[in-house]
Amino acid sequence: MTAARTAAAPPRLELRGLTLRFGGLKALDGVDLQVAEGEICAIIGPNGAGKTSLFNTITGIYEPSAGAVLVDGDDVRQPARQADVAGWLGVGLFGAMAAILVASDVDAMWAATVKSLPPDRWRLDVALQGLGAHLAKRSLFDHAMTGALAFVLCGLGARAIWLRGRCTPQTVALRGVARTFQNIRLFSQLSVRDNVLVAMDRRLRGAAGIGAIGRLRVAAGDAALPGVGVALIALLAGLQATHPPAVGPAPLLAAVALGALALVGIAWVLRILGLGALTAAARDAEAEARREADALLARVGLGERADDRATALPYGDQRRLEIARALATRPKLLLLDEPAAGMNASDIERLKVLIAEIRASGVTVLLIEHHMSLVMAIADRVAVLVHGRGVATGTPAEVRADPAVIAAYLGDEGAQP
Amino acid sequence: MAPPPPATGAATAMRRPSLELGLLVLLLAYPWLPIFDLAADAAGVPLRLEPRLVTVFIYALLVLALNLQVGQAGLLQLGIAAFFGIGAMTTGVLTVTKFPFQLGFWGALLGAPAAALLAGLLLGAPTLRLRGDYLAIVTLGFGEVVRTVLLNLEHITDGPRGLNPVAEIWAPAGLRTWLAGDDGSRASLLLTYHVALGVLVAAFVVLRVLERSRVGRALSALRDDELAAACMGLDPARLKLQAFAGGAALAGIAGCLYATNLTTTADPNNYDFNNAIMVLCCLILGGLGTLRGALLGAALVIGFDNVLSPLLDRALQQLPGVGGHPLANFSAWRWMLFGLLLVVMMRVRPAGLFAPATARAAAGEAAR
Amino acid sequence: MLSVRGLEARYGSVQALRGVDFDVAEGEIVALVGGNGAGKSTTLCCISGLLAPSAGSLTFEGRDLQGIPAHDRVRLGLSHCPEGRRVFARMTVAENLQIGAITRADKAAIASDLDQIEAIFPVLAQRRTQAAGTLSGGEQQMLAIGRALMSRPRLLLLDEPSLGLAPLIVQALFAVIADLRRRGTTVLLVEQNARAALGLCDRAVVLERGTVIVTGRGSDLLHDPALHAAYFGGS
Repeated sequence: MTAARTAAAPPRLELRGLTLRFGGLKALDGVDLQVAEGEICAIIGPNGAGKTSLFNTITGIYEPSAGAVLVDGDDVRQPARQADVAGWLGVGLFGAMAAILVASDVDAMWAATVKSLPPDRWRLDVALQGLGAHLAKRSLFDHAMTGALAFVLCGLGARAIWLRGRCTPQTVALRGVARTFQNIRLFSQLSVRDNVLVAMDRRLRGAAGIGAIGRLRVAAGDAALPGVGVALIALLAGLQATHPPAVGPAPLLAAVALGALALVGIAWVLRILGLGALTAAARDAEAEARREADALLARVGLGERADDRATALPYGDQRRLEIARALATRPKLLLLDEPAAGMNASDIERLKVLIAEIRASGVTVLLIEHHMSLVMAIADRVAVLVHGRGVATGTPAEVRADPAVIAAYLGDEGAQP
Repeated sequence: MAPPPPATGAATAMRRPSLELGLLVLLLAYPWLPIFDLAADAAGVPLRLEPRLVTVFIYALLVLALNLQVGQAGLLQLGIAAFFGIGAMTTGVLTVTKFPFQLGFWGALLGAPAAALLAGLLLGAPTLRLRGDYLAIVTLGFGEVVRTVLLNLEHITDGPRGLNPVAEIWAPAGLRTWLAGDDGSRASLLLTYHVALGVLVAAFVVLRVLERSRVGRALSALRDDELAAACMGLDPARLKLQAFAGGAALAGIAGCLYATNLTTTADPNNYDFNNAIMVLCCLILGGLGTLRGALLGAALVIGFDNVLSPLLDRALQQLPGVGGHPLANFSAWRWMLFGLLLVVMMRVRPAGLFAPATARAAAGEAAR
Repeated sequence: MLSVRGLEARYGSVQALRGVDFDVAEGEIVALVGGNGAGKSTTLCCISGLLAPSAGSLTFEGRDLQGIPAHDRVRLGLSHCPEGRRVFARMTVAENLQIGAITRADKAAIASDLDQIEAIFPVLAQRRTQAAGTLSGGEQQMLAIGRALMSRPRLLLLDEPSLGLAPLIVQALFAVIADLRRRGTTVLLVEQNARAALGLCDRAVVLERGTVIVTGRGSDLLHDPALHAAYFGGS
């Protein structure tokens, strides 16, 4: 069955020779694993075997020292696209320009251009002549060397920032991978419902671009750079025409310049401050998200406590809230790190049902768990990790009977479920 | 489901706007209220406070800007004075008669935040990944660099003399007459007063909306647990940069008003580290992360420095037997008193006067 | 040894404990059992002084604990190993353990206790010089228990010691707790793995919504059909 499916589509999650080093210590040592779509796969192993490190590497918190994480057949580390390369070049050029300006003494340049003529007789062409004369004080070679150095430094800097940003928790989350944490990490200052709503933020942000004001906001953001350019040119032309004093189109040009600058400025303020949240579409989206959040909370049994502070919940409920929060990102793959820790037997029974429901809704589940009763009851497949290496994979029954697993992990508890 | 219990939050939400609205109406009307003048004349102390209140408004804007960066986004930054200075200097360059731009106040009100925003983006993009204490050092350095640069670009900024005269606020002649009749200088003063108050109110409203929106929630989550927030798909770098640049732009607006109020950009040494620390003091005193706290902190600290202490000085001078004594000079004692008050405050209310309930609880637990 | 009378505690407007009464005799292992939010951890926090009760009294060896701060209760022989590990992340494993013995002066005994703890949890010996924050979750749990033992408590409060530990280690841990009793340490244990806890303890106190509903011998409770349905499920 799995063979047929893998031939048709790549596995939901695939780890290829995943290795993670901390200094000389190898937390993960060439881990291979495939999780098919719709599967529940459990990872067990002694404390310190690298299970949580594995989760942290999959979710982009650590970058693997070697090997790769593939979601639906694609490496989670994005390759550089043309736009990225263009971005590095752009930053480099900008840096080169800035460096040439700074190196040729901004202050003197100001004197040569802005102060080239008294303000009431100031003319753009004279200022530009002054700029040319000023720049000519340094040799072309000097300018070129300054520019080239800054270009390389800024371009490399931009690339370094891109490299660090290409595989981060948020990019992995956008691929449809959500997780819970072993040591619960809820947003303690927020209410239970707001914890879930934060996980929907990405979708809500998209909604802020809907509707008239939203579209204007997005368009303004896109038009900002060209807008600034147009405004500056109109401004310069207006200034030139205004001195000597106003004749013909001068006031009009000046008004255009100011108007364009004002529009761009307002649009940018709207964008930066995120006031898209004020549009009707965004309000609708928020209301819809609240309904969805309440439904999710009801599903994990926290419907009554939506307005409480997250940290006021007892431990087991906090674990369920973490699951609801992760589900709110609408994941394809859900990673659960010891979901049953701190739960009693009847809680664990409910958790079994919840995880089965999550799988039935089309989400693939990968979980770390020490409660063997849970693992045996719901996992399709179990992978055993010892000292950062995968030592066995198989059905729960096979793994439980494996003498090596009993010796390293289960002890005689393994015999009794 | 049953409606949520009548939480204290709902009650205060009903009460708060009316309190603030009342204060706003009082401030709007203040220039025309003769009662203060009469009382002051009776006491023999001149009490025209508009210019001093403008200073309070400007610092309140700065504190709101810093609150966006430090309180909301959790970025400890000590260079707010640099953005303040950039805003003031841009205003000078865009308005003084010695340069050809001469855009007037309203042009500068757009240009100054744009320049500060650009500086914020340039500084923020590579540095916001740094951890709290490192970021504090970097922004501290940035503040000093900007001050030194402004001092030394003499052709542009006129160095320590500062650019002047910075343009007054332009308004239609009808409005000026309506405000102050034939008294031209009073009209300028009232324009500055009301524009500064208007900008402050607008900033407060925008920030309040922001705080209660999706973005405020996201920033709160980010401050709580950045890693968990990132794993839920939030983009920490983008959110932080937005808040940082937004705060920088707001500080730029404050700088624009400052230069306009003084009609000069003043010595760049005015925008130094002391200034940044003073703004941070206001914020911490009022309550980090709360808008009302930011306003209250600015009102208390800057009001203390600018309004209360000169008044006390004059009152002391006029007291028979005390006036003229070298120690009877309140201004000389004011920072010592302020320091003492700050120490007491931190003992009694470590999370600030207007601390959010959660922060108070946390501080209380820590103290226990 | 310890007696708890009419203990009440609240978090803001939420009443977490509504009058809890029970006793712990010297040399006993007592388990606190109950569902989520029943008030088990809150009870431990009140006893160790991390939380001030709103009403009720706590007596430890005839001494009223009211007004005694948490760090002085450690000197009285009360040690609390709280939920959620709370190791000192930037200190090494060895330093964490030595901090546990900060109230003691007998260097030789401390050293022998250190050896003993490393014998119980061999992995701590391997990681002696590593910063505690770099340990895995389960290893941090072992360290937290080890640290609590280092103060040589007469009454040890353990909050979910088996949390996040592999089955093999859980078995070893329960053996250690049984061994502690043989050496005269009294243990008050909160444990979600009720089956294992009841098998180990002398007496169990069952809490529900902040009050004690049943007390009795562990093995009796284990076979109580009503409790069985509520807490032990089908496992």
